[in-house]
Amino acid sequence: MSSEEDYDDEATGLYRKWVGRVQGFLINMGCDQGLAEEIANDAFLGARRRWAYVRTLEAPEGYVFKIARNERSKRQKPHDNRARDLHPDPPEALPDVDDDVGLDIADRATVRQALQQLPASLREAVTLRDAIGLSEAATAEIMGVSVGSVKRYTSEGRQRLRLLLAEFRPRRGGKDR
Amino acid sequence: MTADEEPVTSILRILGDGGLDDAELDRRVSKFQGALRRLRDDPAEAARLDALVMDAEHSRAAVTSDDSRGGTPIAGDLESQQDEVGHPDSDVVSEFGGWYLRNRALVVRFLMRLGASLDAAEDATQEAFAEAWRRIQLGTWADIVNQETWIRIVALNIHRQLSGQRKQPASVPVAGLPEIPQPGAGHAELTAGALLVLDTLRSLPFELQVIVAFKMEGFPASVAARYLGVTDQKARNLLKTARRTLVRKLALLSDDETSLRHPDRDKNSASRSRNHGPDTVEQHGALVDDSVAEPSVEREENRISSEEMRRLSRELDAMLAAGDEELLTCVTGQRW
Repeated sequence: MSSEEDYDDEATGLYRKWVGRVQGFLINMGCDQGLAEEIANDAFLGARRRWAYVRTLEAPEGYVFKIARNERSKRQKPHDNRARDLHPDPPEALPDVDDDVGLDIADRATVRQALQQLPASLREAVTLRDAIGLSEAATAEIMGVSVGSVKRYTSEGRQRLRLLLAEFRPRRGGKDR
Repeated sequence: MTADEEPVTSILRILGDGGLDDAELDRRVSKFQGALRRLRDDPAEAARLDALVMDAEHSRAAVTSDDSRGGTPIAGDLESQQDEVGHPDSDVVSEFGGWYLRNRALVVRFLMRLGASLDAAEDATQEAFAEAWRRIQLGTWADIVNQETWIRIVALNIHRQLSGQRKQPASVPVAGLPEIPQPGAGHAELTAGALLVLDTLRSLPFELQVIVAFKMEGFPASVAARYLGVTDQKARNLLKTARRTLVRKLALLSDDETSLRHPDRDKNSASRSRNHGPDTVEQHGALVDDSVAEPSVEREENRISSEEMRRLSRELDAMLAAGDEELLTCVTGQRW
């Protein structure tokens, strides 16, 4: 097997492990599903282009998050502006799902709505730390700020969310990783 | 984490996976593997991804995280990619060469107005043009709408990144040695006129420096406004503030800088004290207060007429233009 194929396999392993969380981060930051999927794929493909370097990193996912974060900042506004000019899609019939799945969707929507009310830096810190589960150091590196700033953003974000979600209790307590 | 914060953390975990179930994840992985295979035969797509990576590496976040990479230089990483990017045709190379020659000295001067030393300005300018060249190789150069503005903003960002604390190389601390003015123009060192303009500009707060620097380059206030993230009106207000401050500072400096002193200044100082008549503008008193007026002149004599204000404004423009001209001569006479 050539090193290129080895690299492809390693990059695919990273993709399988992290694509959900990269996409979750983008959606929590305000991207719609389609754009989040597009940016997440580009971020992993971009990391694959630099795989000889990325594979040496202690946390290669941080590199992917950094690309994804940068791309979101470039693409989201034009994407949203274009979308505003289009006719909205006709409402889709709600899928016939069992109660658990339906409640899960409702939980996500409620929490995400609360998250959208935070300023971007607080939302980003809280998402990376609590939703994605990254360390303070990794979050600081991705956001390009100090660890102290991450602590401050996270603490303030949690406090605000606690108020916004005072009445909310997740039906299934979230998933363990 | 406090006991109050813990429930929030557990609630947020439901958002962590992006909503992908196992079947969806398998579908996505399979799609990703297909994209990886196609990437090998698609140089345009590869170039697009390379540009995307480079852009992320040059973002603010990437710069601040350099320390954690054990000092791996970004430029080193990019050099290893040179063979992977496209080779522009000779017309493009020639056109870029001309553009480079026309703009390089102007960009160096722009950075010097913003507080960079000559060497630091040259380094940042070189980096900015190298970045422009990479864009040409990647085929994204034509996408930039205003290249003159772009090159200045990139150079300024690079200068600010390089001059940050983390990027300072270990060296013997000899900072603070003044640049020495030399007589005449066209030599390698800075002249007194250029230094006066630079020192005065550097004494302004950064926002005002940016506003003045873009204005002196002939860009509208909206360009500086976008860079600073303020409204156009706010930028215009800042420009007025900057001009008022410069009038005050340059008038002060010219007391000692006899070589730059306006030939008519003494005469005008005398006429100023005679000239506060019916058209006196109260608000302009602040422009000259105790800097332009002689120390012995009474407070009410600081009031200044509209005509006098226009003259001071013209004097400011002439002084900046003269210093600027000398600065450009010094820069272009440097090494290239």
